[in-house]
Amino acid sequence: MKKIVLFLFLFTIFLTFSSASSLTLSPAHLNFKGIKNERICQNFSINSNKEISLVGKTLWEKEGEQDRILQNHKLNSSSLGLKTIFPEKIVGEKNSIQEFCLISNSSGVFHGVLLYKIESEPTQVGIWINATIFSSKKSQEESFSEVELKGNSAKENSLVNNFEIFIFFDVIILISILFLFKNLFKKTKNEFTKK
Amino acid sequence: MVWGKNLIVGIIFSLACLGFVFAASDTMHVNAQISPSSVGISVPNEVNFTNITCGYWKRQKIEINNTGNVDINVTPSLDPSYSGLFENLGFSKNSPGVESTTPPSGEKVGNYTFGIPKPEDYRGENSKPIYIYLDLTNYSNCSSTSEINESADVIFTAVEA
Repeated sequence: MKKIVLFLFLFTIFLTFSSASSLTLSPAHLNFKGIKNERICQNFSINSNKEISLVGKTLWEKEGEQDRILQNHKLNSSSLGLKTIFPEKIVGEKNSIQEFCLISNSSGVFHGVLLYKIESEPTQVGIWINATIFSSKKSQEESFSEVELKGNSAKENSLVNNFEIFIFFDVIILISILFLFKNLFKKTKNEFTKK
Repeated sequence: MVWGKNLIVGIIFSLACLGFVFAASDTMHVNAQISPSSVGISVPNEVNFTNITCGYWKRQKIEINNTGNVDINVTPSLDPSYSGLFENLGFSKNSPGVESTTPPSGEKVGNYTFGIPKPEDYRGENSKPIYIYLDLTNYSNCSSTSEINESADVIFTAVEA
């Protein structure tokens, strides 16, 4: 009996060590919009199937480039004038919520990746970072108002379309009723003529 | 009599049409709770190439799991500072051929990225088999007297496709 318990215990330990770790980060991408020298932050979550230790880093593309090819992300934050604040080492966590903050000393469009690797294991997962940094509050507001204007026109269009559909069906119903009454009138007239 | 019948049909038809118009203006409250996107993988911790001699190549089949809820691209890579035997490591989606002295068909580590679609079932996993091979068909640093025993870390990086 003792031997069976010992065997099961050792087998469980063996399974724990040999099984692959899974690492999941959420969301799959982070979008930032802000102005120069403003600290902008967002939360992300880390989940694994067991307690793990992670090492984090960011890599960036040249300013203005926005493809999702990992090999093209070679620059570090400081070379682009970006300051990133996030936990670079996470020890013994299974599920956690972390914060990623970004401060840029120049305006532009930046594309990067936040990578977390499980220590001493081959698994690494990345979250894409899309950051649009405006030179001033005014230019940011101008950009937002442009979007709002476009949004309104789209809304109006949808209202117009709904109204057109409503009118179309209304006209069909009206024609049907008129047609019925016309037939009714014709038949009544015939009956009177026969009499 | 016919006049009365037609009148009833007319009224019923009109009411039916009005019914549709009124039904169109009714509202149903719909709620949804949408989870954020997530990107994740699960990779085996170890692959062993045993009984291989210089001038030949050997393959191993491994399973990579997409544990998130978006399509992903996975890039295997060696540490940039590494140089040695495992620079001859390669990857292939399909079987890279029969193990022989003819070099396998596939991409060398560092040049290869493969996609894994998101799982069919929400919160499920999508597993993809990948062939990893060690190509020593043209490897010249083989010792004729002693056995080579080398290891290296391959990192599998997953990002949203």
